[in-house]
Amino acid sequence: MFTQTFTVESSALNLLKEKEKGIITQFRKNDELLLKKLIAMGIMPGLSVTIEQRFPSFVINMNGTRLAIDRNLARAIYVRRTR
Amino acid sequence: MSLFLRYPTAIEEGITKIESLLSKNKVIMSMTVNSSVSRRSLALLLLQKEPIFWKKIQQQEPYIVEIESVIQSVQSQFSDPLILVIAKTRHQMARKIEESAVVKLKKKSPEGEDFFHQLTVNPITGFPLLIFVLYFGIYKFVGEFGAGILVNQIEGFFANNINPVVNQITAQFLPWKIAQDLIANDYGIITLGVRYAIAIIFPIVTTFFLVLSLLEDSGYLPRISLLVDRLFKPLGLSGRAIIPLILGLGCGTMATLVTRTLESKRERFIATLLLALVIPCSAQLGIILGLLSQNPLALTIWLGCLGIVFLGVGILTAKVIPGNMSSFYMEIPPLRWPHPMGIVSKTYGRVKWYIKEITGLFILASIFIWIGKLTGIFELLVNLLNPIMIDLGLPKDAASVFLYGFFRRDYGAAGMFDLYNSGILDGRQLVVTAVTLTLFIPCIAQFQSLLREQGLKTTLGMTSFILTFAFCIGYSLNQLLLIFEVSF
Repeated sequence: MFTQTFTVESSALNLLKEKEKGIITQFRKNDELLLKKLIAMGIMPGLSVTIEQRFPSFVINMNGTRLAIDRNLARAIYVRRTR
Repeated sequence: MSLFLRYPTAIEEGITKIESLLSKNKVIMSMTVNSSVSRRSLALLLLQKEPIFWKKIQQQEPYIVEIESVIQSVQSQFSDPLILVIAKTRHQMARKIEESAVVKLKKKSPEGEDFFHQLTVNPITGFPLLIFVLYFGIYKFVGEFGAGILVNQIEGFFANNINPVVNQITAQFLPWKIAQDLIANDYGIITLGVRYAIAIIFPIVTTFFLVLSLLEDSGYLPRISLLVDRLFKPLGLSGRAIIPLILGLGCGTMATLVTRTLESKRERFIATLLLALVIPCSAQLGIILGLLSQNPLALTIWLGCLGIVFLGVGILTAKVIPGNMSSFYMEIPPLRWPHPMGIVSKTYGRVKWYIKEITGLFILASIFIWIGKLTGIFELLVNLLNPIMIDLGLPKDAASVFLYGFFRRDYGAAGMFDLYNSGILDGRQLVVTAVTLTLFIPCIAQFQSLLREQGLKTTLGMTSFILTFAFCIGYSLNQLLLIFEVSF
């Protein structure tokens, strides 16, 4: 009876399929270096990301900014899947 | 709206405490006066444990223990690292400003851009497109047009119109043969140095930089990076490394400096090694493509050798050198039609830089050769190289090409062009010379930038490795060609 517009399912970004969307919730912990990189790129919790492409590299879109990241970085970003 | 950036209360409290601790320290206070950095900014840097400032303050701050405990108590109130908390606050502020300042127009249809974007990044269409771009941009335009047609035209003009005149004039005005040779004849400043710079190097470099500017301004380069990232990982490189490597096809000197943009020391080392060893610079590339394009088999052998060495050396160094895989991240800008004026001014700037860089060296090289010939040192060096030339199956004259190569890669390549045109090198010898000369040590300019980026020890190690390696490959290639009786 409730039409759910989002899921509470949390997943690493690299598990999303192409064209799927998510909201960034957190990053892999205890990795200061990685955190600095993500911050420098403007990847922040609360932002909505769309997966545009998974191979050969991950291409993600955040508010119209396109970024390419490798699988390792994608694995470190956790998202809540949205539709 | 106030533009004051207010952090969460716990952080603000931390900032105030650290500020008051800092104000007791005279050294730090004088620092803030001199560089006009506020105490608040310094406190924020400390909260984020900014490595450089943290190190500095650890040595001279009497209240370091107190500061550390403040940081710890602030951190205990957040589940996220302080770096992230601070960045988040800033980001929110930035978004607020953006929302209030930016007027969103009706979305223009990005159909065309999106189509081309997909075309470039989808591996199925992207790789063929990359090969297509390299084939037409580098092989056809730089190799055949720049190094073939343009070089032949200008070179012919020099040989028919300028050199005879220069020879005649010097013969008339300078009675001494020695002085004549400095300016004219076979190795003169004008007939050799200036001719190499203007007739051979200039057209090739210009065409290459034109292509490079086009690739840069259209936003295509980052897309190549994302395509090749996976392929580069086994070599210990990330996709980012493709940019210095492509630049290296222009000039290794510039490219070696650009390796700075790479993330880890390990990645920088591997990239500089590959640049010094395998990647030919535009003049070499152009001349070699121009000479070998008449013979597809020779071109394939040259390309194959470089490909094998590139992969082999890359994979081995990645195995040998300790360190983690560097991660790959890059912003992908929208594809754009390059602005013609932008392309022209960029190309002009680069060509100007390049010509300025080489002209002096080329003239110097002519003078060195002149002195070398006069004193017999040149002959001595050629004789020293002679056994190696025999091992490589090359004529004695080829030694001078390698000597030129010490000065500038392009100078050596231009020398090879001369040798082949005068019929001294046959097909097999041309291929062996081309491969060895490409692998052969970086020129003086690249050597300098290697020194700057990697230090003396690494540079000397790298250079001696490259020197032996290049001749070993040249030797094996010659033997293989002889055994299989490959003729061109």
